[in-house]
Amino acid sequence: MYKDVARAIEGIDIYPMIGVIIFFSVFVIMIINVYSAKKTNVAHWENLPLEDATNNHSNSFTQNNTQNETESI
Amino acid sequence: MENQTSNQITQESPPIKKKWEGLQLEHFSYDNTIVRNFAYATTFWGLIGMVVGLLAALQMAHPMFNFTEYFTFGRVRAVHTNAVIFAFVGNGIFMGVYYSLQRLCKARMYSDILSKIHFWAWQLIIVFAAVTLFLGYNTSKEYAELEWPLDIAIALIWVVFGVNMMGTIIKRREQHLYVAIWFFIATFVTVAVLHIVNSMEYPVSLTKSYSLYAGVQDALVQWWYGHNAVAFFLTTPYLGLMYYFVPKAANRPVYSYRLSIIHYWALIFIYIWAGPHHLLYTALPDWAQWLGTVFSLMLIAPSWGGMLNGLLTLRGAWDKVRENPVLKFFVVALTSYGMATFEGPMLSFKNVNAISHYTDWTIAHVHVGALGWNGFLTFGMLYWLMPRLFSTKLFSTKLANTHFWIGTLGILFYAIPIYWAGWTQSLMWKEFTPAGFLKYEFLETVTQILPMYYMRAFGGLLYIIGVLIMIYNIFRTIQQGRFIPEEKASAPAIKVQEKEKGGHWHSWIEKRPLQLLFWSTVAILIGGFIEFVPTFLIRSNVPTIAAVKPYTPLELEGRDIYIRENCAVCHSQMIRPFRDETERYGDYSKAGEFVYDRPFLWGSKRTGPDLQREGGKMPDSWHFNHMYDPQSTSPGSIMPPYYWLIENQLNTSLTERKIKAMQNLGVPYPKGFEKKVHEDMAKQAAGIQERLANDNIEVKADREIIAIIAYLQRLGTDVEKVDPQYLPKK
Repeated sequence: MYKDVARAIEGIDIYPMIGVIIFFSVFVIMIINVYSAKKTNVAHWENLPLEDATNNHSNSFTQNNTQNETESI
Repeated sequence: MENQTSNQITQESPPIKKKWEGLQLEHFSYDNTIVRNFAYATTFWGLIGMVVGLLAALQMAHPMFNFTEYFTFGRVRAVHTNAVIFAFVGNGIFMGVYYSLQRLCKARMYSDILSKIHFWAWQLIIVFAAVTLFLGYNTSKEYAELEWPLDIAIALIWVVFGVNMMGTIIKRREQHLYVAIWFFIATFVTVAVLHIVNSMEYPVSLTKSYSLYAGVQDALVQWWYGHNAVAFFLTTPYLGLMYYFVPKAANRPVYSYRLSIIHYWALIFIYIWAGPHHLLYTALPDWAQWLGTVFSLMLIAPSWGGMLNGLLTLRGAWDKVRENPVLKFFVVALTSYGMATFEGPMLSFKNVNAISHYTDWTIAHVHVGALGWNGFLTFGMLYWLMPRLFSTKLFSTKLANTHFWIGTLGILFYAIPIYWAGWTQSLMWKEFTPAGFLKYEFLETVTQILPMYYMRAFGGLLYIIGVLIMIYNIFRTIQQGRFIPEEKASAPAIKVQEKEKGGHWHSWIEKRPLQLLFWSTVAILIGGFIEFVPTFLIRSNVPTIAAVKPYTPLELEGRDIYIRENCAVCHSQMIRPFRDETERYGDYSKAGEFVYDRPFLWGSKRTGPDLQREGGKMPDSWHFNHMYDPQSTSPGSIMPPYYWLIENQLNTSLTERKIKAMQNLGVPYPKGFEKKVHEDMAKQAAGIQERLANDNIEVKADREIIAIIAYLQRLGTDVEKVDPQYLPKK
């Protein structure tokens, strides 16, 4: 059925090969590059949520903590 | 303790002050009003969506909970799914994105006006969606039930959101795009593509349209959309929010930022292929089914990578989980995400799917995701956000903990009985007596699991009680606080063209959000193209069956009533090639039988039996009585009565246009046939009226019930005229 249609395409047997190569190389290149990133950069990136330029650093939630981070405003 | 940890973090991170030395600080403020509005909307629609869900659960347990024609299970279920997905989670996404994006970009939202338009238009769409679905205007395609005008409105407002988001990213004051933002970008792009492609429909009137795709193709597009709605509406945006709010609540950076980059690319690249796992053992070509299975199995890796990344963020901070309800909610949300994403690939094994498909197992699976992952992450965000927006402390930590425990119990009371119900029913369907006959009638498999349905409703009730406690707690928090609409902040501007020293290959893409947008789009489109192109271009993917003919006008009208009442929610029309199914329902379904089905009505759950071969099994009078009072013909059935079908006159004002639309879509009605529709309908209706009269049932020939009987009696009769040896195998 659709196999016959696919067979009519010249050089079709190389398609799955190309697919696998693309798929794996994308992942391999990505992983290599991610792990070659500089430590200092990664440290800066991962801390982005914790510094929102508002000078609020307390994220405490407990009742006994009297620090109120927005009191200054 | 607090200060120690934050000190540690600043020691690890590069000295930021140094970086900013000599730079002019810009002062600006974050827009908290839009965040607060979306938070209110999330809470409000969440409650509505869950109450409608509870009504649906009660309707499954007893038919007396179906009120009038507007509140039958078929319509209520569509309102429930749409309300929970697009109203509750949708507003939750916007709430979290509008809060985190501003702070991660160190910039106010690009345009306050766009924010306002986005908020109000989205709420308006939700109201229209609920009203139209209750009125029965639906396309029957799951999670895409809304009719075409609303589809267009959704697309437009989605673009407003995207422009507002990309504009904010472009004017940001922080060079690096934090990983959460990538997830937001992927969400925006993919949902736009999915929604537009799946909502391609041919309008007949303002409230009626026909899918541009038919049969197998429609099914493939629908489940490519349906699965990726789960992926890119319920998962990627919430993963982005997880990457922001979990570190915020735990006050420590994410466990591994490198892992989060891998997580992102792997997830969006693989997820998009998995749709066909909803169609295993159906008439979909085998290669497409295997594609879905293989990619679904691979999905375990990025999903679990993301879950572990979230949970391990709490390493060394587990003591905080004891006293901080926000973290409690996040831990259960991540655990539920882990469970659901382990189960998903398992359900994609064809041999497991053979048992699970059409049963409550699927319902249990999605509710672990919805109640656990989406619900609990949303509650955690609300508990964390509200006190901050109102510059106060949470009114009661104790009440938040109470909500946590009641909600968790609610999830268990929901999920466990429904898993049990699914397994029970599937095993009963498949059981044969030693003599080789089916052991159970379909109805017996329904009455057997009703106690589980009652327990499920109880679980849902517990979950709602938890939400009510949360609403009270947040209300008191708001009362004691003072809202801060503008949160002041300051940061230096960045020059994007400046090369970061010691840059990293990935930073070129992070600095260029539009490139990130483009390549993310490419990553998701590859999967879409490979799935669709063969099915659309190669005709032989759908072997034709000459005996299959288009529906008569009366049958087409009957089919549209079937769609209006959303019968496909409980009745499938797709017989899988298993012995128990072919014994119970007749020959298994072939792709060629559905070429005139717009939309396809395969369904994905059998609360009632399959109807694909229903034609000719029962006399017309049985169908009449069954519609009027289902329990009279099937004692113990949970089907609601459809008495209005007997009272309502069939609206034939659009029939001519419907036939014309079908002709334009390529359905081979003879030329000029649209002129003869009324004549043709009257003839067929008179025949049914006569047969009913023979069984002492007096009914006018112009009633809706006549059309629905015509449609039901047609189902599956075409192929019966053909000798099985001449039928295609698929």
